[in-house]
Amino acid sequence: MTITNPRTAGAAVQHDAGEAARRVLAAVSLGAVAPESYPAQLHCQDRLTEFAQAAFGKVRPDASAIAAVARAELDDLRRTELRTDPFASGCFGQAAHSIQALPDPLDPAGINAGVAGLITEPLVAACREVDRAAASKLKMRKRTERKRRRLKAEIDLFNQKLRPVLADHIAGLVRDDLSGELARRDEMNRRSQTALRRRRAEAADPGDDIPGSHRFSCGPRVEVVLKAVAVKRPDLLDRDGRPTDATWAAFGANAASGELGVMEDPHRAIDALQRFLESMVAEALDGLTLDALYALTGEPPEVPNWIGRSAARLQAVSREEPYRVRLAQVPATASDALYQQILYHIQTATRSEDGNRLQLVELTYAFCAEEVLRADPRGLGRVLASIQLHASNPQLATAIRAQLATTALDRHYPVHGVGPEIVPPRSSGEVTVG
Amino acid sequence: MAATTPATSPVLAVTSRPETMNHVVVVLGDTSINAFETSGLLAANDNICVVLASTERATIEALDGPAGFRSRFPDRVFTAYLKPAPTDFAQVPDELLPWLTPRPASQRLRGGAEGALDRADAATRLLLSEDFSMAVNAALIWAHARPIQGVHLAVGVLGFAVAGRMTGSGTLPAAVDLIENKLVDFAGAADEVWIDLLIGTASIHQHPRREFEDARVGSMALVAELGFAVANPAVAGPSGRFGAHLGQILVLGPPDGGGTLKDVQEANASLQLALSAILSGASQRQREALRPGANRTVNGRRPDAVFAGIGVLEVVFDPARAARTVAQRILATMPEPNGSVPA
Repeated sequence: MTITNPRTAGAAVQHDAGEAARRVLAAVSLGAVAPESYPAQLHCQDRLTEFAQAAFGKVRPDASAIAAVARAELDDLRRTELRTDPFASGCFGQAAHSIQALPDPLDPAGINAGVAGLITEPLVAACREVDRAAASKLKMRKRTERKRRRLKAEIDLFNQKLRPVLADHIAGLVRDDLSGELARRDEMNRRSQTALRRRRAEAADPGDDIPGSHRFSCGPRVEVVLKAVAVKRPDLLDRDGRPTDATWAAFGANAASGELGVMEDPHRAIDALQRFLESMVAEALDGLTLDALYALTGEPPEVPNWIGRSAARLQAVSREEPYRVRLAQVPATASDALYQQILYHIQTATRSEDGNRLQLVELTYAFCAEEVLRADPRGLGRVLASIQLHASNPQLATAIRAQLATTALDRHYPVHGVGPEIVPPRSSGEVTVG
Repeated sequence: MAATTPATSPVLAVTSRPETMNHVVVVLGDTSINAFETSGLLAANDNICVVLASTERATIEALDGPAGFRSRFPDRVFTAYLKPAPTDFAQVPDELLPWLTPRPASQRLRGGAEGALDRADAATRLLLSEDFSMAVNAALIWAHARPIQGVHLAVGVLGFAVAGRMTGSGTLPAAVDLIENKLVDFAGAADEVWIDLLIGTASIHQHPRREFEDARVGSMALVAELGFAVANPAVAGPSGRFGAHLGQILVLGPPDGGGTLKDVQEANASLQLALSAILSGASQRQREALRPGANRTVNGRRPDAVFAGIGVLEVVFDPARAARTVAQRILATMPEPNGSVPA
């Protein structure tokens, strides 16, 4: 069988069913119906009927084999379809429709009736003559041969008429095996496509930040990484990093090269899309360092933004303006693009051996001890109370106890410019001390 | 600001700059010792010597061993084991007694696997430690005596402790007092001398709860004690000179924890960065920025200590992590699929 078009899948099955019927009916011959040395009394008509009915019972394996071949060929067609467009859905639906049009298989009564309907008067007469000749004691060879030839001609005619009936029955068995399955796979494909469309439509833009492994960690901007991917995969993304239609085709090709069942399950299809996109990006980024990322895209590193985000998070406003010192360790790589950018802002930047980790630190100096302790959300009194038992010498313990006893603990901080106050950290909204 | 000429390697960048001073780094406690030992600062800077002090005998033995850290820099590494204090202070000079905390014999050997040493124990051990006193003395002699190639001779002492639990947080005020006392003997030997303190506070979530609580209390107690010590040197230690040479007090990491020093690796990286900046800033301007004279508040020397705020950001390019986010962006901007929408 070769199904080249899912619309003609039924015809291909029918053809193979006809071939199978021919093979099966080859066993229904004169030699089988009327063996020459039959030891008992012959009943050719009965034997012919039995053989014919038995043929219907033997064709189920043939039908299964035809269904398996059809399934494999339709899978190939589906892969071809997916390679060009993961949202195409012609294959299984059309094949199911075509196969659905095949005739029903016959039930036992239908088989009996079908066989009986093909028993003609000449066939009955030919059978009777051969039966009689076989029972005769004086066998006249010449007359017997003539009777057997006549019966053979009648059996051939019978087989000729039985073959399409049997072929239809085989095709019906294949239909029972395949049409439901193909219809279900078509339905699941459509559901997966709908899910993929919905996933695409509902996908939220992650913003411009790549989160780091903890609160004070981040990655380069999404935009920059995207451009790097675009440089590496111009076949899938345009210059600005926007995916093109080719991305869908690439996804389809990826799906076609794997298990087809993935695209017949909405959840697995969505996962496959996510995995495909991630692996495509990861492969494009393979071997790139932080420095090379910016060199490749020609984008300036967002150093001022990073420096801003590394600002000291302790913001107890003091009587003095804080004095800031910024430090940096820059990944040491070949191009130095990143190092030069950092050096422009932080002259004391040093190189580190870690190829993909830029560390920025800002130290500020302006806070007195009391201000730092006041910044503790539990309050100075509670801090002193909790540490007085842990003083490092008796004199300091006494001083802390005295302070605890005499300090009026007010939590009303003076306004900015007059005394210390708490300014919430810019990013987290949480006051930390340090 | 004009960019400086980039050096070809970190080591070259450090060694090629002109020296202006010698440093003594006093490292207190095992965590600090680990951070310093792995920082590579001693190898990269010939003008640094270090005093490493611990209450753990094994730590000091490892440092002093044939393949230990000290064997690599025999003239610049001084170690001190802070051994348990005697139960009887009869032999102790009277002027030390008000700063010592006596313990019964049953508690004398506390610490290590047997239980937590407390801050007062650690401070008492340090004040009574001949080893530590001799090590600081030797280090100060080295720093004052080493010829320097620069505009003037200055000596910086950096007290470095991680207030992870007891040793670092308990001994630091006592160590500063002891160093101030030693510096009397060096008066006039250097144009400038100052003592900076770099403190890593507890914020390592991986600690067991009790250890984290100890570290939190230790951090707060250390900050408070430094405040009291600067306000009233008489309570800080027997010398009564606490703060005479005090420069910056830098506190890294929020006492409540929260991510600045996320784990031991990051804690070490942050501490090493700050150490590196203080000890081997790549330009003279950086060194000047860290000098006490450059800070109005310290210069004014009001009766309250000056503390630092810390901000940290790491920018990490992790292709796998980036791929997840970028894939999400690509998905959100994918073109409308061709073909009819299925019914």
